[in-house]
Amino acid sequence: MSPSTDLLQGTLDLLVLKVLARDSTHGWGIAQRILEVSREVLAVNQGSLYPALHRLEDRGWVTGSWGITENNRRARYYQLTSAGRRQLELERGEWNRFSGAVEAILRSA
Amino acid sequence: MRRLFRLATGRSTSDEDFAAEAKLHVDLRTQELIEGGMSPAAAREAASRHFGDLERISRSCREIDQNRERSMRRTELFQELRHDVRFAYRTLVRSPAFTVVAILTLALGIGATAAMFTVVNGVLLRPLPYPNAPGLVLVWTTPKSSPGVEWPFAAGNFLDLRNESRVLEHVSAFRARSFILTSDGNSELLEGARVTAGFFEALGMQPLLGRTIATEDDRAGAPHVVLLGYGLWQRRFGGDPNILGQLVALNDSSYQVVGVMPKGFAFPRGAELPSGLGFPGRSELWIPMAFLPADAENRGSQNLAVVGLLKSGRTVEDARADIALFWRGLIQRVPPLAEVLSPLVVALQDDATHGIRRSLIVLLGAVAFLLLIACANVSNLLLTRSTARHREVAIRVALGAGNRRLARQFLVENLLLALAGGACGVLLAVAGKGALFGMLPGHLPRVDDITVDWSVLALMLGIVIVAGIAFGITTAAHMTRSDHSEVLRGTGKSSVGRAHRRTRQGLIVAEVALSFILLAGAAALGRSFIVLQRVQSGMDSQGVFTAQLILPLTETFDPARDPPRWARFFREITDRLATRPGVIAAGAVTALPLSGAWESTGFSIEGRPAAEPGQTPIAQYAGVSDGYFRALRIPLRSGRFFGAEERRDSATSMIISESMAARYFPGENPIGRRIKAFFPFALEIVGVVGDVRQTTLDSPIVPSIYFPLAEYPAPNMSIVVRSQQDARALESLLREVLKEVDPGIPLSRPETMLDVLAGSLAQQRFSLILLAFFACAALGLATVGIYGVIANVVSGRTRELGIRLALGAEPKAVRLLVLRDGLVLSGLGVVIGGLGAMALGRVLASLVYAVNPVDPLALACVAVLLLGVGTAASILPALRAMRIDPIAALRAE
Repeated sequence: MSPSTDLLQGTLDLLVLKVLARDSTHGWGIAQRILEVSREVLAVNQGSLYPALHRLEDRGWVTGSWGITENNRRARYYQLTSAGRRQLELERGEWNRFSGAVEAILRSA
Repeated sequence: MRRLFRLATGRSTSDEDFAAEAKLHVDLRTQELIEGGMSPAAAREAASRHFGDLERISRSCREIDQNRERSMRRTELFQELRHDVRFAYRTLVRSPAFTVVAILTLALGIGATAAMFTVVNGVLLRPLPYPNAPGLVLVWTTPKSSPGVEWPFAAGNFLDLRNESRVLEHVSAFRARSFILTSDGNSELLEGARVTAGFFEALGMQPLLGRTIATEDDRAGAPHVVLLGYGLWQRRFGGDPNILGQLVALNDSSYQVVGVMPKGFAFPRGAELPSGLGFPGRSELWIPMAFLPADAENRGSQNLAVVGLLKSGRTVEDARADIALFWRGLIQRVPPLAEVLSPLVVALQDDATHGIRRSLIVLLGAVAFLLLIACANVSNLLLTRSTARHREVAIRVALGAGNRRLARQFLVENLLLALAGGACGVLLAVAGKGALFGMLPGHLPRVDDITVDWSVLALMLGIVIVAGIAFGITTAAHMTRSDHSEVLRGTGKSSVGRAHRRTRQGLIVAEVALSFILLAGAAALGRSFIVLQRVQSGMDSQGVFTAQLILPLTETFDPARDPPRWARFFREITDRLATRPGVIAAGAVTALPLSGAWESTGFSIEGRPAAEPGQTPIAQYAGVSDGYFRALRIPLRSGRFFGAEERRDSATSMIISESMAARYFPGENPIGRRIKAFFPFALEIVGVVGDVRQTTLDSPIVPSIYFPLAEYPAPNMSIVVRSQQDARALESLLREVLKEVDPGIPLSRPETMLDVLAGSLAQQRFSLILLAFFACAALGLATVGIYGVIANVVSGRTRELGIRLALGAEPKAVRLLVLRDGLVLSGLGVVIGGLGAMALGRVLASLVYAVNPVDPLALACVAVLLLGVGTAASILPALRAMRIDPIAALRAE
């Protein structure tokens, strides 16, 4: 099965926030982490990822700062802010409600 | 979102950031692919392809970043502004003495300006409250003997004007009329007007209910109809919505209500019209004026006020030319008119205010001076404070605050200060409005139209902003110009001082000069007022009570029945009053002295050649009962007062005034001579009495004729009663007697004669009190200002003075040095102010009575006062200078 790249609108934000909740990392790290955890199902499109990161930064949910990778390369690390943490909780709840609803329909219909 | 520091912003940073991020991403992917077994070149190529369109992604990132940048910049500006305001507030609160003094000073200046402008705005600037106000003109006649005096129109001439005017439309006549309204056994005196059809159309007024006066109403014999004013409708009829068609009893006949006028409408209002015509303060009801065929031929009784509306596009000048042309035609038909009268066309708006315009403009100018002085004082305070704040500013500059940032800070601070002062001032004006309006002369035109409206608030806000910006600029200029590093090293104190001191001294000189002008003006008005009060009114007002009684006029006037009835009524009232205990004398007069009501007539002396055309002598006249002269203690110069001889139904005598005797019978005995005046026959002079000021105290004495009541009865007369007790106690007595004689007649305008006297000076008193208040406030502010500057000079010169003292200067000499500073400043101000006062003296000329507005003595007094104040204000600093300890002074630096 080839990795799906069509993430639902808004879902990418949720995934990014979730990944950053564990650890702050750079864009590549976020994409890799999503791929890994989803067992190669969800491959994030870079064309969406970087604008999404900038958008999240704009809203104050994440902050970016320059750091050094383990390979001694300069990279922009993204970090969840406390507002971002709250947003994650919120979006997670929303997602649960949404997926539960879809599940219910699929089961009954 | 708060940035700790800012890097260069814009496209490049954002793009570079993204390029670096993208490169890392691609590199890491390439490495992964190589580890997976791909050749490096293929791996890089695959990774790049996989990443996608770099440029597109970069662009969307950039857009997001720019949005954020913009909103951050906005927030930052707002935060900085909030920070500025908070900082300014803290700075102001930290020096409460300075802040309170500055705010109070501004509040005084702005409050006085707001109050004064409110009055000026209501009286002079706002259009009269009639829709057609800008196009309304009044057409008067004016006697050749005293041009400019506004006389009414005769019915015949008015009818011709109405037909022939080409520039005016809705030409209509109106005339004051009192009514006695009787309902449920209560009678009330109401003041209103008789008006011709077209009157309301000219004004542009629509009725609230019903209709106005129509053409069919003003024909002779038309049914009686009446229009009610809003207040009357509410008061007497409870605002009854079914009032239309009801009948009301007015002057013993019944009138059908056809309409109600909207709230506030009260034209004709007496104060807007010449005072001699007896218009009430506010009109409350209107009935049609019907003309009889005979009226068309009446060219001689000038008794109608005429109003018209300029046709669109026409000016008052056009109306003037048109009516002059009309008048030439009229003279052809009625040649005798040419001798006595010419027409006078005045815009209603101008006529309404011409009496007080000058005073109000002068007072507004005066208050502007006060405002300038207040601002100068606050600038002075700010400059003093800025010297003290140099260190603070220097530290902030050292920490990286730019000039622009500093300037903005000062601007915010001063705007805040000015706003606080302005707000206090407007509150002060609103609170003090009651006191100010209470002081307004009762006959000030348009008192009803005065309110604090948006234009007042807008002007005050404008003044506040201009003042705040000016203060900010002054402070900022002084702050940013100085050498901050010197200040920090503690040596720069005197280097900024000089320009600084010059500005402050200039401000003081200006303050003193402006105060001088205000004081000189107040002195001139004050002297004029004293002179006016010393003017002999010609009567003794102490202990006299007066009230007007108005007998109802029925529609059909019967010369055989009515006048004798009037005469009997007033004789009955005065006779009964005279017999009451405590009453010394009681009388009645058609025109109460100093009340502004007067009438004039031409006359001729029997046995003398007729006067040249246009040279007919004129005298004012009044009808009086026999107790009148005794009640007002008007002295008898020769002959006798009216007595029993004049009690017959037709008398043959008259009394003339002293000035009339002196002017027309020099060196002769006028007693026994006969004069033909007002009546077609001559009357014999039986007495000469002292002169009385009829219209106002400052109007010249006019020759006067008194007719006995029997010969000149009138339906409305003023009663005057003199008693040994308090004059006020006489009101109840008068009411008692009136009830005995005719309970249906109401009492109007009851007051003591002293109140009448005071009322005639109300306008002068108003101007004087205000100008004196402004001048005193200015003097106070200037004193504080001089003190502040001199004290500051002394503290700035502590070192120098200390050296002088150390070198053996006498403390006295040091004191003199400081006093001289104060004297020089106030002296300069006095010289400039003196020149200003002389230049502006002309403005005051029309406001003062029998006084030179640029009186050298008064100017000298003001100069001495200001120099004295300047010296007094420098005494404290001078004493401090004397006591400077030279050692401490030298060490302190």
